[in-house]
Amino acid sequence: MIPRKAIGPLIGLTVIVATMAFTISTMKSTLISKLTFAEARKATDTTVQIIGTPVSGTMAYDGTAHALHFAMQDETGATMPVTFKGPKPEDMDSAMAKATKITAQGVFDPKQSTFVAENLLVKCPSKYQGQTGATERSYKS
Amino acid sequence: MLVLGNAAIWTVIVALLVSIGCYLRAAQGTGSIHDRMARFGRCAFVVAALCVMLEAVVLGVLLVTHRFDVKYVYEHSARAMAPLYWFPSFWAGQEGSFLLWAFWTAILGVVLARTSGPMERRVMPIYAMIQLFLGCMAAIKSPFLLLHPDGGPAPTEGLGLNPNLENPWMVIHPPTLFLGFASLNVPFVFAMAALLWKDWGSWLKRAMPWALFGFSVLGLAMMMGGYWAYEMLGWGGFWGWDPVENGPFIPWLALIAFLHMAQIQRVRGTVMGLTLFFALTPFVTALYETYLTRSGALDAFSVHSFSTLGGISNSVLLWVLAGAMCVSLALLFRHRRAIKNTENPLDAPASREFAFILAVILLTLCAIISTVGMSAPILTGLGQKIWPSMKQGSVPEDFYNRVNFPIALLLAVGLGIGPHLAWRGGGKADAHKLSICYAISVVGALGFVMLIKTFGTALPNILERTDHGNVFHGKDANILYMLLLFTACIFALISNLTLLARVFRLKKAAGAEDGAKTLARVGPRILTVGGFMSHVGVCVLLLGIVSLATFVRKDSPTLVLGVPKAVFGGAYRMTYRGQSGDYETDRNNVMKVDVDSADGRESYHAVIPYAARAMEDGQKMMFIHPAILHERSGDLYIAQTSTALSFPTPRFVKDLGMGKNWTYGPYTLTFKEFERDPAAAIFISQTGQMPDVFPVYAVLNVTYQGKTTEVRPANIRYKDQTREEDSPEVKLPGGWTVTFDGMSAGATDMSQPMDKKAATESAKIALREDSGPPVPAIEVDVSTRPMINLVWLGTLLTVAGGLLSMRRRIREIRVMPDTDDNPKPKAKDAPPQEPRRKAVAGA
Repeated sequence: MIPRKAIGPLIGLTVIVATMAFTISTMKSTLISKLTFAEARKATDTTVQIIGTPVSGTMAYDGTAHALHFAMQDETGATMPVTFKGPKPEDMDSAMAKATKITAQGVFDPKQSTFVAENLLVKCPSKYQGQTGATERSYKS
Repeated sequence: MLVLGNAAIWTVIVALLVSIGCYLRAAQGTGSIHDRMARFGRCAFVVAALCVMLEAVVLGVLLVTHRFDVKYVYEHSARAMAPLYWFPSFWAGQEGSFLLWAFWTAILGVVLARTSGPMERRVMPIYAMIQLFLGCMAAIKSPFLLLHPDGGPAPTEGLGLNPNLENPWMVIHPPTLFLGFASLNVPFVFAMAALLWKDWGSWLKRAMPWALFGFSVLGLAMMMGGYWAYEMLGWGGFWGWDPVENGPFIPWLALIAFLHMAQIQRVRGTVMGLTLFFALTPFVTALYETYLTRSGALDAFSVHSFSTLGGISNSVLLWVLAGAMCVSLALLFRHRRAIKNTENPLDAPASREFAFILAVILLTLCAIISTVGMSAPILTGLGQKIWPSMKQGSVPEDFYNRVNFPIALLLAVGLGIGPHLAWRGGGKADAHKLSICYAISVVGALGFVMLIKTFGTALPNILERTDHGNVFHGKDANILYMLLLFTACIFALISNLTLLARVFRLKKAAGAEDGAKTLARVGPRILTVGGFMSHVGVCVLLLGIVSLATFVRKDSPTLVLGVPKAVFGGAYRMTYRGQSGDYETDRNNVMKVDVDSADGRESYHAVIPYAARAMEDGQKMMFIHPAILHERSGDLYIAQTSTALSFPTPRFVKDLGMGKNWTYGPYTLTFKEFERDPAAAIFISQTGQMPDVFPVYAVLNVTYQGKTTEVRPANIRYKDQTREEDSPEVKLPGGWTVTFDGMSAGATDMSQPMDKKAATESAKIALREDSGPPVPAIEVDVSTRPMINLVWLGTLLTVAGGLLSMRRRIREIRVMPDTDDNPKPKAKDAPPQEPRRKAVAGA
């Protein structure tokens, strides 16, 4: 039915097409999109990413609940409260509070009215005066 | 010194331009003028190479002599560092790592010039252009810039290294990695030379040993990087699919694809175009990854995106990348007729060629997936401009693991069947042997299933719906996938081992490959098993990964000083024995934990580095690393997450609003107000700065048995931000204690905590029945790392296999230098034949 010569290329093509389809569908389902705060408040069912700077004085750790609380603000000035479950970061008051950029990956919880982060990428001010570089740290809960 | 360094940079550029010119002139013919030009070209290249080495020496001298007036030295080293870490300082910054890359490129270039034989004058100008690109990067961003160009005192101490880089692995991993990157140049230039001069016959044989070298070195470098991450970073893994890790991974896959294509071409004389393509790809993909990680394009999405290169360097990098890609594709397109397949290698599905091509397809898919995943932020960012509803985003680790799984599965199956197939499908595949292998692997799978049951994880009921109703997700499904992969790996392993035995036994490789007679002539028999060794290595590696994914056990105990705690359901007992010093002040402090197995056979003294280290600007950074206990069957991985206090009696905590009451047990507490320490207040008003010690008091009225007293428990904060807040216990009449844990946190506005008039203020107050002071404790994450040794062993086997094959290919070049790898009729404008040389007898 299928000519012998065509079996080979057919198998190869099937593998390629199947893999690419699977890749695209997986990417769609696992992609963590970067959203604004307003968009993040609406997207309550998927993991998303928000970026901002910490609001000074809001960084606090709740020992009994094992959670870090702080507020973030973006360039427009909007704020978003963030909760991160995990051990207290030792440099919470220094590096984290002064971070130039925090990227939080997680999902917004409308009941608690806070962004529950699973992963924090913290860009701390570089110790080099006037440099654009920075040290980065990643916290996974 | 600096003058010397800068002079060297410019000499490199001039010498390379001369070299390129001479070589190009030499490539135009074979007369004595051309030979002389070739010699000049080589001399000029050697001069350039020596200058690059001089640059490296100068940077080394600057680091060793602590020349902090030089910007690079100031930013990446310090007097306080141990001398061993001058090496990581060398390549810690952009300029240094580019110099390292240029250094290896120079050395390999000299070797290439001397060993590429008649092809020298064609490959060297292209190679010199790559060296020139790296030389230009050094000129634009020189490591020899002064910190204060307009004069000013040199600092006496540098900023030092990121503590994570102060590790012996960081001494060897980057040089290995950049040696691997440098070696990618060679297949690229050979393929380019073939395309530019339309000489299809002699490039492949010479490019192969270099590709094998690159394969082995990159593999080794990736393993070193993985082990560093495992040992230093505390999350217990060794591969995170981060752009920096994908960087060498994708060229590595392309190299493997090239090697397999090359084999088909040598045996069947076809697929020339694809072979050329895969020879060009590693270098181009390496450039792409360099651009992604150094340009700041992935800034918001990756921990590893380094400081950006800056405008001009970024552009140069981008243009070179675009140029390499476009020229390669253009040349391939232009010569498409000459490099087309003349035979269809896929004519027999049961042939080795077909298995190879399928492998190449799978490897290419894996490379594409990894590239797409890595570039997701850029792709979605571009997509957002076209379709505004699309959002820019990144993919998590999960994506790579899920999508690469079927590829890994098919590769493992192919690894089992492929080596048994014969070229051109001649002779049936040894179906009998393969069935035996399959039977054994099924038995092995059953054993695996029993292991799973023994170690407590339930078998999946595949008819049961789990996890949002999708049976293909969740932990149970994970076990099913791992079972499949395990079976495939065992099958491949046994299949390859039977072949290995056969190769050793046979005196003649009868019918398994063309060129059997040359095999017999070329070196001892061990050289023929390079490929098999690498395949076995990959299977072992996959088995290690399967084991880790299936049998990992995790626990997060709190260890109180001196109190043994059972973990993993009692299999081990851990006891915290205290610190060696004080983690807040002692930079080499460690936490000591004793780990004993329940049956008493194993006993370890684990040492967890946990210390605050001061940085240049007075800030402190925590230096925390895991303790890894090595056993034969795997590792025990202990990562400390924090310190804690353990109270012998329970504490009752309340958020007490200002002016509010709280009654607990025999006490009623009223929170009146906050109070600042007067001495601290004076200090602040006089100096405008935080004092070193900053107590805040909560003023409470305590009513006990009818009498009311005022207590002022303190919450003491320290300017040194790595020191924990102190909440000393204050004794109450009646035998209880009260502590002021801090101001309450929540979603309220915390920007004015000291404003006494803020109505939402509350304090966290804790009551405890006093029975002795709290005991220090630590919180750790413990996990088992079963069979992780297989991962390292597998990688090492793969690397060793590559090196063995490399030796064989080098010998083949020496023995038969003029055999044409492409037995098909050449294109019309072939170059004149090189004069025949006598084949060297023996090996």
